[in-house]
Amino acid sequence: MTEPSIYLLQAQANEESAKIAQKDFPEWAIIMYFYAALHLINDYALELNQIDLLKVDEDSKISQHSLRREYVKTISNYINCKDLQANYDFLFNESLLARYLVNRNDILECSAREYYSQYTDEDFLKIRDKLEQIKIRLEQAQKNTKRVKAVKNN
Amino acid sequence: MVPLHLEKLKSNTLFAVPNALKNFFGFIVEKIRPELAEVRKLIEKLEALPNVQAARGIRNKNGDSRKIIFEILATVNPSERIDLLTEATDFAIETEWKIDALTKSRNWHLEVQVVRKFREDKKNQIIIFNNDRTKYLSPASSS
Repeated sequence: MTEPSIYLLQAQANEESAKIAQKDFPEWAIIMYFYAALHLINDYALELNQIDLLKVDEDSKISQHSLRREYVKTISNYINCKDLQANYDFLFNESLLARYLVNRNDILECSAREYYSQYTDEDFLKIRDKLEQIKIRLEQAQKNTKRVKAVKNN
Repeated sequence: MVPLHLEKLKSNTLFAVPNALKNFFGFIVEKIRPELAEVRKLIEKLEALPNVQAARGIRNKNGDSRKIIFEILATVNPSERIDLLTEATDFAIETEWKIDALTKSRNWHLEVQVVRKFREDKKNQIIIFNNDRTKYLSPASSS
């Protein structure tokens, strides 16, 4: 059995941190759930020898996050499942809100900590479910790729 | 000589001709730019979601014009916000894929945000509503 990649290990660590942070540092839980998703994407890219696709050229105007979101869209298209992109985008946008309080005056009335501390266990379950759905879709995409490769090799 | 009686030609609706022209040009523009019709449909769908008072799309005239941010005006608690954003994001991605297919491009990026109030309009933006209130903000307009 192959060793898990550093990305998969980091994704698992982030998910664990998120669960622990939910109670006292809920905004960090949101951020860590997103970073768990991000490393799952990196792990997928590494497994498929596509990790270079996520590297930003020095002179490129596109950000690393934008590049990765494009890549997520490509995977979603490949398996024809919009929910992978939807769940990733949801976590990305929430992490932006929790980190930078983007457009705070328009969206939140209080600090991110105050806001996310209003989340119930059920709310956090909904967030975790998005991460779970991402895992399922990535596994599906990986299986598809392996199947296609096997057919080509035969 | 036959009297024309122009007053009888007047419509009861004020500004009927400008409205008709606007509708006609709107129709033509949406024929040429099919994404606009999809964007309006999305706004309608967003406005029909629970607790939503209004929705609008914001697109920059310059730069990355394939990015559209949809502001959803709603007063919701954190729990309701998760559900609203989940549904809205699903709708947005569905429309994004549709527009990608229509324009044969994969560069569209549609994003949704739940807001307590619409952000102040900025220069060089196109504010898209689900009707003919769409505004094209020129650099000369105030921000």
